[in-house]
Amino acid sequence: MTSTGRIAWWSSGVFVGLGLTALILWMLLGRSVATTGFAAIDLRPLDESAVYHRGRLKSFDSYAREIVAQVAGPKGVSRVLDDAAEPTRLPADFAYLDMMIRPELYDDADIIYVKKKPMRAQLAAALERAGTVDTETLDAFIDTGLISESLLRSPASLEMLQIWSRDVVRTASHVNAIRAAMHFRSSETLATSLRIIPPPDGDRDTPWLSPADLWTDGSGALTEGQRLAAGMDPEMRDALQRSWAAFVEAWRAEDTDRAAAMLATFCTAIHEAAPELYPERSRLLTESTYFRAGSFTWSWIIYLFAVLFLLMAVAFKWEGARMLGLGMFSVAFLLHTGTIAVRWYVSGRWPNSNMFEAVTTSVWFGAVVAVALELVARRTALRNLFAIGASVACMAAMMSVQFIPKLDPAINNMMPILHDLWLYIHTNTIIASYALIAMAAVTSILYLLRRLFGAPADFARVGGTGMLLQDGKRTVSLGEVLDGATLIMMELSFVMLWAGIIMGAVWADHSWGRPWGWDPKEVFALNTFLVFLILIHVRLRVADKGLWTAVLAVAGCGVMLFNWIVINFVIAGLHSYA
Amino acid sequence: MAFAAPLKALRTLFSSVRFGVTLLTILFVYATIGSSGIPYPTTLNPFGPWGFSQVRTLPAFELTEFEWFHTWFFLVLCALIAANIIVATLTRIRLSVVNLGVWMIHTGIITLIVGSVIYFGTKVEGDAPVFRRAVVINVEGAGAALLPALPGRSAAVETNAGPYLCTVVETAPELPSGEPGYAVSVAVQTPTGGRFVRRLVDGQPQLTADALPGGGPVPVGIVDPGFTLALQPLVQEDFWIKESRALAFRSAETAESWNHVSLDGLPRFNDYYAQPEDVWPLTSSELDGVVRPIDMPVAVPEQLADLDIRITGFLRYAVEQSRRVPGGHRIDPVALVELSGPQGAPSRHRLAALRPQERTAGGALEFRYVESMDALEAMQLQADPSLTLSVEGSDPVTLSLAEPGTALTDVGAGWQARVHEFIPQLTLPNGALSLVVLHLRTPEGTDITRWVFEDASINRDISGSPDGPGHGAINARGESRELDTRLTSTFRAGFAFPLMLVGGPDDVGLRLLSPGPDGINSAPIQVGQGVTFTGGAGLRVIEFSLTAREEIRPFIVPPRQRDRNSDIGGSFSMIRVELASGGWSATHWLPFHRYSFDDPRLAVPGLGRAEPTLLALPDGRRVEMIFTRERRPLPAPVILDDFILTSHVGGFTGDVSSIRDWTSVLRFESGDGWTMPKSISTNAPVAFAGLSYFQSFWDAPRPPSQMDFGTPGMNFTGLGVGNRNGVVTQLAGGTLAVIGMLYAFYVKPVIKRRRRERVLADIEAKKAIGMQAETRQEVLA
Repeated sequence: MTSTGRIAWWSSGVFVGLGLTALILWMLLGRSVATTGFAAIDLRPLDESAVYHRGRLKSFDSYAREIVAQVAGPKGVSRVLDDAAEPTRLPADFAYLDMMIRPELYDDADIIYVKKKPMRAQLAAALERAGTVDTETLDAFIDTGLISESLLRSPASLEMLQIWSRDVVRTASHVNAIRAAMHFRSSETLATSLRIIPPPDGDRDTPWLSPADLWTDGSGALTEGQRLAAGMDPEMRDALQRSWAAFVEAWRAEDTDRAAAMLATFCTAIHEAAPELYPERSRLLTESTYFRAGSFTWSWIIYLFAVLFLLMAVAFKWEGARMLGLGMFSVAFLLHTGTIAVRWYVSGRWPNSNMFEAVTTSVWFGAVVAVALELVARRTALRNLFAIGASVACMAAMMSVQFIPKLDPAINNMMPILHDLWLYIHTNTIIASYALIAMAAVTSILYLLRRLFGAPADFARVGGTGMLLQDGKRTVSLGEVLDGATLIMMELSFVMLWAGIIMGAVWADHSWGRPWGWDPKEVFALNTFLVFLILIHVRLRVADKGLWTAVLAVAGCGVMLFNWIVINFVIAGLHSYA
Repeated sequence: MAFAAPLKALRTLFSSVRFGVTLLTILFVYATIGSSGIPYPTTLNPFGPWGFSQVRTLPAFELTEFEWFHTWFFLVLCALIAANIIVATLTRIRLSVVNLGVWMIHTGIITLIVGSVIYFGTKVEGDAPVFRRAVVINVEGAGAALLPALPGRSAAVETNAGPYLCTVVETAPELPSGEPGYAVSVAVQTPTGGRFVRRLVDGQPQLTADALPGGGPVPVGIVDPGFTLALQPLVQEDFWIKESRALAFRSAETAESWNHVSLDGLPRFNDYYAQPEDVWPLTSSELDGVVRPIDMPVAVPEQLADLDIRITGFLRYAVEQSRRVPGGHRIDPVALVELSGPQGAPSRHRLAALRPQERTAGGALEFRYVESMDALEAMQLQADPSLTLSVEGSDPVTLSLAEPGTALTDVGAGWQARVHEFIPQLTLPNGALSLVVLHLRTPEGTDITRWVFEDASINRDISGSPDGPGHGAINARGESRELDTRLTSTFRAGFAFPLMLVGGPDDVGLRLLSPGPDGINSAPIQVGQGVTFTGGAGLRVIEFSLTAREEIRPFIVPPRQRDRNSDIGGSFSMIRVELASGGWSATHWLPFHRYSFDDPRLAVPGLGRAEPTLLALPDGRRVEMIFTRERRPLPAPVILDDFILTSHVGGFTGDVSSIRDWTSVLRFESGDGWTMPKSISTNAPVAFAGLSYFQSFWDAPRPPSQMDFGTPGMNFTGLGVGNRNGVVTQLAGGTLAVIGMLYAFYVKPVIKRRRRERVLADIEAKKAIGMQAETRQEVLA
């Protein structure tokens, strides 16, 4: 293929990728949430407003999403609007304000989330025995996990909660989550925790105030917030009181225009209450947009298309497919990079301090390495395989953060122990090695699939780096190429994993007072390394080097995933935040 | 040579890559089993739930993670790997530029192993709470006392006129002005009965102020000028070894420092007791219920050399519980019953008729006691709850409890009454009680709210009508008044459960009552007798006694009810200690103490307990004994100058996520007195006199509770303490291995490629000048 043809194909890939991106964004931003009637009220002023929550100033949208998720889980809050037959899912910001201002509308709405399916079944059985609810409602509850507070307060439900709370290991934490959901859904809690007004004294250590603090109940005893509000400039307090009261009144009356206007007035006033403390509006707006766009996790679809085209390029040596695949990989990578950069900007720190961030950043490192290796190997037979490995790893990671609720995208403060330079050195090195291990497993699986269909026992005779140094003129089999690609990524991950373990020991030494404590996370990082150590030495002795390398690379990936998933979520340890 | 062949075989073995791979595989399997355990499917469906068998915690092992990785097997395995690396490197890998990488890797690993031998062989790791201040109480001419600055702690100084009693009522980590500072308020009761509160500010004696308990200035004459209070640092001289266990003794008379005896080899994860009667009967199917005795002799301290001390029991997570068992002379009916459903295993319940929290079983049965035949007959007549009001000179009036009354009705002698609310089986912390909230109006026209219980002795009158704020609710805060005895109220709760077991009066025995369509069925039931009901449910009385006595035994908490952190830390573990001397012997269950403070007042919530067991020896000595951790002296005593909490924006809200860091400002005792302040915080330790000190835990704020004064916290800091021998060697080895890997993977291929290119170029050059060249294969070989 001529260079003009290559550029044309590559450009097509980029354009198709961009088209897919636009389609996905359109789907995301216009997804099936209520956007008509009163629920379509203009809440944009809140997108640029900060709310104090757990030691961080978040955009209101980001805050509302967290609270609504605590109440209603991943499915969000739905309610029957106007004369509609079916409940409509409400945007988180609208749901928050509506539950706060008109709680009575939600008393019988199915908005409290029960996560565990066996608990749903038990509760449904108890409610059925009590005869307080029809079968259809109970079936819907078992299916969605959502139940109304009025049903949860029935004697049969309270008895079940009481029984579950005694089982500290299996069900008590879920009962606490249900009770927390009921607590957070209450109008009073929503009102008092909406700390949206900066402290009038302008001190960064003074608590932020909620609109509820602007009024006193006349009993004489003031809360800290009310005391602080009492010290506010009377003119400012009066303006805030008037605009908030008018907003609430208009909301109750479903007067869309007036409610929006009063909200805008209120938001303008809070921005002016302590401008020196107020976060940048652009940062808040970016945060709202970031979450509204679903953290761009749907970019896995573009990675998926990239994988399909690149596989075709490898299998059929079709240059057009290679260009299309690389084009889409480039778009997905740029989108991925943008997501990481936006999160970095919004949170004010490099995103690698919780599981959501570790997973998405890990595969981003993999993609960066893949880009570099694709450039180095562009004239060798190894080309395309690094992009395939990275695309599969990125796709799997992004699907997991989209579909596994435990990988919470909320941005919160880091634990004090994580405020250290070694977080960036040790953690990034380790998670980058994990991405490379996953990528090596991808090429290994391709190798094993080939062998499964009768391909000969080829292997990279000059080693991984040796193949990279070749000029590409020598004809090599696909088996040799796959084995070589596996070796390159395995060797890189081997060095990085070991270096990461040593760096972790340095950090642990000055943080916990010992470099190594046989913590399960440490042991399984060592175990992952041991698998690759065995791989290197087995390769020295066996005849079928390609097969053993592939099998052990997949096993190493399994141990790595065990470390990341089972050790983190099932077995308690010092690294429970990572 | 006779040894040549075996030596050669050994050399062959240790230079074998296969042997190395085998050792690494064994290490992998060993580490996996020790760390995560063995996962297995809990059902035949492999996609169903999986369980984990934590092998190292089985009775055959009883090892912590640290211990699992320090067994003889693990140490031998590491030694074999080290030998394999050394022999294989020396015999198989020529030291050359090409092989420099692998030499560095192997040398690095050996260096790391040497560093680890030094590190783990000399490792000392523990923790120490350091308290901020103590209050020095000084009374001129009488004496002095030290009082830890912890809310609720007290001390007394005796004088000729009587004692000065001092109690710390409040500590404040910052001054009311918001400025940094540490203030302690002490409530003082003088020998003459005068009371005042003295507020002390650390480092600023000029701010000391006295006030009356409710506020306001102290009248002249209450405060004796000879009485002084001052704050001073509380020196910490010891630390406690991580994961260790020890038995500590001291004289109860002198209460001097504890004498610790290490308990190496004590189990950690399973329950051990000699006979079932040593603990309360197991109620959970999750417990194995295996009687598993241990007998571990304890090295007796010098002061108790005449005693034989043995550990004969260990419980991983248990609490001491007092229960009633048949016996004694006090009327306190108890019964042991077995309930069985149509399906499932029968469940046993120990019931006490006079204890609301212990008189129901399985939501099906209630156990009651009646004092008279009249009461028994009344019980047999009425299944529904009833309330009868009696006023002297009038006939008793029965009020309906079916629904609340809307208006007051006359009940005689000018009294009016109305049932405001009937609450059946109200759940309370110590059981469930039925209650009627009654609105009474006296002949004088006064409104009263009366709470009427079945046990009339706990009835309560509250001023005002129940329609007033909060009066209808059980947690009402209305003003109590003396019970008006002119009107008596008798409430019978009726049948709250399908079955009622009634004991008494006296030796009449037991009757089983159950409401049916034709009234209440009543039949006597004997001990050992079983009754089967329609549907297959059954009841059997196993034991019954009209009188009972208290007995204390450990209760093994079912695993599902255990707090995970407490379980990991062994906070609720117990040991059974048997002491013998001559013909005398004693047995005690001892709960675990995280710290063996010499001053028990330091054992605040969060730092464990101070519940020493008093031992009266046959020779008259009284000795205190606790189950705790090993305590060692710090190389340099330490004091806490200041504790600083740094928060994120918005200040500290009580939520941990609002905390940015904790900083302890410490001083150590050196030969020249106390050092200059040294700050430690997260990720920023300090080293002093051979040990490193880390910020480990802190005194978090606690709201007041029934058990505790509550505190704004920051009255102590928790330091991690440990040594770091060999760490530099370990890290040097690890780093050398990294460099070796980079060389082996990325430098070596380049060197080999260049050599190959040079050889090929030589061949081409030779060909060009017509020389006979070796074949390409020969050259490359």
